Amino acid sequence: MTYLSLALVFLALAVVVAVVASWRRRLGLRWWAITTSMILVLLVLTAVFDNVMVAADLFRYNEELLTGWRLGLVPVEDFAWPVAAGLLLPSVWELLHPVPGPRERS
Amino acid sequence: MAVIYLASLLAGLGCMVLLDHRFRLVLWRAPRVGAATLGIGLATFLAWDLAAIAARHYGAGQSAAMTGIMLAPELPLEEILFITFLCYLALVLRGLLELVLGGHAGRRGVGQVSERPEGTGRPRQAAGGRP
Repeated sequence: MTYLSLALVFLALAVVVAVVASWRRRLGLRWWAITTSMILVLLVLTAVFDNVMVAADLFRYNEELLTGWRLGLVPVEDFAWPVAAGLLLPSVWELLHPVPGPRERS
Repeated sequence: MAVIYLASLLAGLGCMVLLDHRFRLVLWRAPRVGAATLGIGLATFLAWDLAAIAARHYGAGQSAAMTGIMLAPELPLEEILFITFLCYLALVLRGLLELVLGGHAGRRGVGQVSERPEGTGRPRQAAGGRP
């Protein structure tokens, strides 16, 4: 299994959770706009800091299992991490919140 | 040298805790939900890491900036903190963007609207009510 296929598995999981949260919690355009902005910021931060981290030799990749596409020193597969985190975390946050009852302020 | 990465992660986490505390974004907004969400995120990315390490996609480097403490083969202590950092960052960043982009706290704001000093409702009403 390549790094890309594994990344797609976890990315798909995050997408499913986000779709479920969006449907169950009726998350609107505004929620998605803010979440998308957050993911874009995470992608920029990843592009900067992941390059620093690879340069610092914090981890090493197995070249044989990469697509070979890189942004600087960073394999493109690594960008699945911020996207997955950006989708998964706010969605789980929404799903774990109890739905407000009719007596609570809306 | 060996603690640079660890110290950087802890400093970053510390700054986010301060932001969270000040603006009531995650753990200071809904402690239980926030902790549970972070726990699920942590478990997910740890599973991803372990799967990737098992599949030999990547392994630990030889950086002098790491402590060298390994929690499992190819899994440095710092990686757990990095995963925590990433998960917490996503939630803190989203909370900040919600504030910056002029959002009302919505249905889940645990007293957030009333406690926000720059609440949008009052000044507008006051201005409108002036003779």
